[in-house]
Amino acid sequence: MKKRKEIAIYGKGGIGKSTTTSNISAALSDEGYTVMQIGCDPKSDSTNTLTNGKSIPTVLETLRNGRNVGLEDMIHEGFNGILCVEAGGPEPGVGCAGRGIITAVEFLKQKFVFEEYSPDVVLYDVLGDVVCGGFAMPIREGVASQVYTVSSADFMALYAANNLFKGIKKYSNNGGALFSGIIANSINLPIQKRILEDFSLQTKSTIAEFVPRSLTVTRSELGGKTTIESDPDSEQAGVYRKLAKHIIKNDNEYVPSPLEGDELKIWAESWSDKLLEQKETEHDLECVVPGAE
Amino acid sequence: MNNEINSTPEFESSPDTEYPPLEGPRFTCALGSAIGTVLAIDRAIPILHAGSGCGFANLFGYQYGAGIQGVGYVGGCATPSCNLSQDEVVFGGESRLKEQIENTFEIIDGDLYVVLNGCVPGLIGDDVQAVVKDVKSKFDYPLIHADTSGFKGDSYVGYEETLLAIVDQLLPEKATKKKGLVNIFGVVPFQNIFWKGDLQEIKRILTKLGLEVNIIFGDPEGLKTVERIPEAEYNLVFSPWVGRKVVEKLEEKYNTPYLTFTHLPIGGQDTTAFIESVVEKLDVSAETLDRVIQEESRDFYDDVDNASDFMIFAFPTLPFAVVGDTTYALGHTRFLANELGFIPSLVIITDNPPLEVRKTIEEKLADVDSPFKPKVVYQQDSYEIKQLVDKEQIAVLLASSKEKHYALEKGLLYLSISFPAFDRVILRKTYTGYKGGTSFIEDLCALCAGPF
Amino acid sequence: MSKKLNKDKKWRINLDEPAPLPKEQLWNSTKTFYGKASEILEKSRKHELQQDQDRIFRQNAMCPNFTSVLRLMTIRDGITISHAPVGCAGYLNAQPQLFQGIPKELGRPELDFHWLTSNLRENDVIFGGSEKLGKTIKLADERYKPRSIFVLASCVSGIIGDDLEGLVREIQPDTKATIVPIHCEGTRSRIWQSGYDSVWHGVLKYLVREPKKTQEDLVNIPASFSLTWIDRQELTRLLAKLGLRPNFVPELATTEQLEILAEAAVTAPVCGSLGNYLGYGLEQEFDVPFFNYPPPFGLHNTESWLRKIAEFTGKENEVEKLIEEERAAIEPKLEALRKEFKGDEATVLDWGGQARGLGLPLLTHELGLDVKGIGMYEYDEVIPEAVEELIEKVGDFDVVVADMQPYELEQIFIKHKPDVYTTCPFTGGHFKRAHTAGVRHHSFRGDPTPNSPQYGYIGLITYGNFLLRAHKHHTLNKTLGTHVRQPYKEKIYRQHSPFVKKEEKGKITSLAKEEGK
Repeated sequence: MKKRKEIAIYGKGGIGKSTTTSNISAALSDEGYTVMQIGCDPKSDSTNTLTNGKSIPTVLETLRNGRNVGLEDMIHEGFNGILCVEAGGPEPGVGCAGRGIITAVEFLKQKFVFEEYSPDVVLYDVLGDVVCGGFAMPIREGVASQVYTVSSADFMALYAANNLFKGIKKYSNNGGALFSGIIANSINLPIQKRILEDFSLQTKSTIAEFVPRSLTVTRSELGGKTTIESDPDSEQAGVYRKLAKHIIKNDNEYVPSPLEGDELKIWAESWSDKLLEQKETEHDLECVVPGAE
Repeated sequence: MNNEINSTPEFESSPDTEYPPLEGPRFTCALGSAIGTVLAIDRAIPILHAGSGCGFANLFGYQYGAGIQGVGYVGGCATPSCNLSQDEVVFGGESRLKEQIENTFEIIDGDLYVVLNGCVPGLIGDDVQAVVKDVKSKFDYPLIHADTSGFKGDSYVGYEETLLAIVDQLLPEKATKKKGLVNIFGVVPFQNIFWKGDLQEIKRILTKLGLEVNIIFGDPEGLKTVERIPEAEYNLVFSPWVGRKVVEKLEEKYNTPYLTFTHLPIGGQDTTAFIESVVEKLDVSAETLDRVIQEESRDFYDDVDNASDFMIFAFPTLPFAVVGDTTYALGHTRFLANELGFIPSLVIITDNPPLEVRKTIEEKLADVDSPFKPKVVYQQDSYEIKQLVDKEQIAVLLASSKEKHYALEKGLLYLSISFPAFDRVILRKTYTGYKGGTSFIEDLCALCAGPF
Repeated sequence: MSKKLNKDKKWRINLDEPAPLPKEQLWNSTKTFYGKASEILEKSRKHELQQDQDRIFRQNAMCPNFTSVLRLMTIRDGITISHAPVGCAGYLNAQPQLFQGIPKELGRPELDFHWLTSNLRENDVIFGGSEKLGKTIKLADERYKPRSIFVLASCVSGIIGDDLEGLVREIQPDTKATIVPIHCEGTRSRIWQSGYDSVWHGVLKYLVREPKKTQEDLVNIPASFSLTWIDRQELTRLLAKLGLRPNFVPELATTEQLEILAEAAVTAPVCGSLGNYLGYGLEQEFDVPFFNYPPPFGLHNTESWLRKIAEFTGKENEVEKLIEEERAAIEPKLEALRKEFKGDEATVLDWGGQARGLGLPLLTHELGLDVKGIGMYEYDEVIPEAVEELIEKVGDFDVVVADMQPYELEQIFIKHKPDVYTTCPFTGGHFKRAHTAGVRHHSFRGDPTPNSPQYGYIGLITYGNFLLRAHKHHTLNKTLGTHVRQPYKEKIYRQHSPFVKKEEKGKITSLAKEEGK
């Protein structure tokens, strides 16, 4: 039996981690792998583009309402037979989303979900500031073994990535998951690329792939589909395929070196200065000014 | 001897804000004590917004720990509770609380309803205050809320938070003072295992002096006693620090002055000193004062006389140690040392009093009528307490039932006087005041009484 | 990965994971039912028991954390650590008083129990409690050098997401005791008995060792804390007559008794709620045979229990001889009891756990009493055959499943007005308002008095006499019934069902509306 690959993909909300994860899932399933994608975000829309834009019942909602519930009530086949799961969680502003993730993942594992469905690859799509113990659950020992983070060149996204590195560093002493690379998203300008390259250098981490911002993605998403499904021959689909191939083969696992305390701020400020200098010559930089979305 | 604190120290810092791990702590969490505080008001109904086990764990750990005190009117498993479980943790518990309060109104017959939240809502951030406000606007029941997440603090915090909620949310802005009316604070129901008897003895003595005494807890008039709080001429606090926040609040809101006593007096000397100091501030005729002291002292010292045949034989100037909260530790040490001829060796104070009051506490203990001054230690950890007791050459130990078995193994005379006391049933028993002094002598003698 | 699959796949447990499923998800357990025994049987067969109805008014009950405290507080060479604010585990302060009433002559072992708490406060809640827990474990290890340290998770540690397994991996190498994390967060399950499963999960995962040998004469007995000292002696006596030895766990057990669980010949039940997880776990992981019913409660059940044990230990001949002797010894006493009850047509209402809930109807039937109804704190759908057999023997009866909930008990009591009411003392003082022969349902762990047993042959006679006395004379109940105040408003007596359908939840704002006020 070949070893199952369990990967957690973290990223700040709105950074494109669900889009990226779903496209990786789609690309891997095209390659013939059995893929399970588990959305760990109370928004519960991680797998939407794998299920024609429809929402599927979440694990927590099913547990809350159901009697005699089983895995079959929460695992739904999406595009190309991808096994789609949403952990679910509370409405914004109430309850505890972190505990929700712990409860949902514990239930799936106690029910032997991987034995029952035998996926080759499991992708956890996790809302990623690692703000509390619950959101760190997927990187504890016995859940995912490799972690990627989706990040743009935006300072807040890098801040989230740095937090993730801190989490990984903490759990690595206890057999937790290790890091395998940054997926650089929405990278169109050379300076964005340079920022990410410098961040990876500073944190002793690697970059898995640069993914450009593309209208193809937006178009596909509006149609409730991944780029791989709706526009398989596009250039963007090619990027995702390349990324998926890299991830499935990549066995490089390590503990990154997060920037501590003020280091991150100082580093960001140094780039902020450079960006301002450049802004005088270029006019298309608003999106990469630290703090901007 | 006057046991009032004359200077009022300000509390700036707590000595131990680190809150280290503890072995066998002798107090419960803020919620547990708040439950006990509400239950001690007759026909007041706690509504717990907490996990299903919080009330039950405190019934076993706290109320049974206070001399196996039963559930009473609506305690134990009769207490309404939201019984939160993982659904509410993940999705929020506000609608459950609303449903629970409304149905409690339908089912449970009470005069005052107090929503107490535990750790879970404190962690997931339920807006309890908003729910309470909403329900309150629709129903005509007195309803208040105290934030008593267990992690917020210990028994003393839960007691104070509950009373502060009462003062803030239930009591009117203004009140007319009633001359001669005093409120009693600082006796934490259940944490002071003899709370009911203690309060009733204080009430008995002061009533005899012609004062009107509002003990609030353990009084059959329940809500009425609560409503009377603002009318008091004075607030009396029987702890150098517990309840201080409450009387300060009352001073601010109603301009009521307060008197602080370091401890509940036991026996003739301290009780007489206590009433003499009360009389300094309140209007009692010298005649009444003399009569009360004379009558009470006569009865009490008659009892001492009658016990003395046995005491002179059984207690030949025995060294002793006391383990307990400030109030009982001081009261017992002083009574045994000053009046019954025992030698004070060691006092272990277990309620972590603020640094500012420790000097006062130590003065009270250094002031005993003996060339032997007790060693005073502040310690909350049961392992450390055992080490301290083990080192001491003593013959009598007054402590909690956690000390009982090793005390008996060492051949000590042992009596449970502080929390927890899992080895006795306490209803109205008190060791406070004149009557309490007698009662204490009886129980102490019963430890070894027999024919000569 | 778990080595073997349970025969019944649905109840497989996964020891690779830190925590077990809550009972409602594992055994489809419920704590909300009101109806006939035949209905609960039918519903459980269709897997329809659970969670379709809910309470809109609730009263205090236990939680998984508290039940775990109860289970682990008397491990003789272990230390219990409560990873929580101080209030959760205050009952552990009662440790020094436990079992001390047993005279040394009756075999009381040397006892020295201790517990610690990580004493979680506001700061720990915000910044995480693991580090402080690590210090607490170290303290326990240094002070007492215990064989095992049980770390009890709580609502707080669960919600802030402390990684107990991670911490254990980190500090176990420097700790002499075996650290056993128990995932008994109070909010983990709606059914407090899930705490029992959490305890066994930890024991199976961290303590039970691969058997070095099989001890052919060893019988595991997962014993509840309502199994009194005299009960233990009675069961020990009966097993000894078969040449067998009991391994009572976890109550008053040593760590080694837990470690050798896989060496036993069979695991026999005292209470299904308590013991099933251990039984199935040992069977699944180590092939130790297990039967989940009946407990040795009442004549028929005691004998079935003994026969089943005999079957697994090859004592089929010995057991028949034993039963014959024991029967002959108690027959006259049993007859005398039956005679006393006869003509009175006394009826019984009973409240308690699953073991006695399902055991008592048959026991009282054997004494000649009529059971009106039973209450159970929870019901698993594990033993439909047992319920079926019970109905065949004693006829249909009322069943209530509720986690304490004294105001519901009040209504059920009023409906039945039984002559004898056996109850747990912790049901919110409900017994006080019973106006009738209300007696304790059972005694507890260290009770060495002659009135304490209920199990086996001695237990049957003692308990029979106990019920008889209660039936004939109950002035304490009269006193309480006459003078104790009632906290419930009059109108609750008109109410039909204490539950609402879950799908209707939220639509109903109050009970008053439900009854059409």
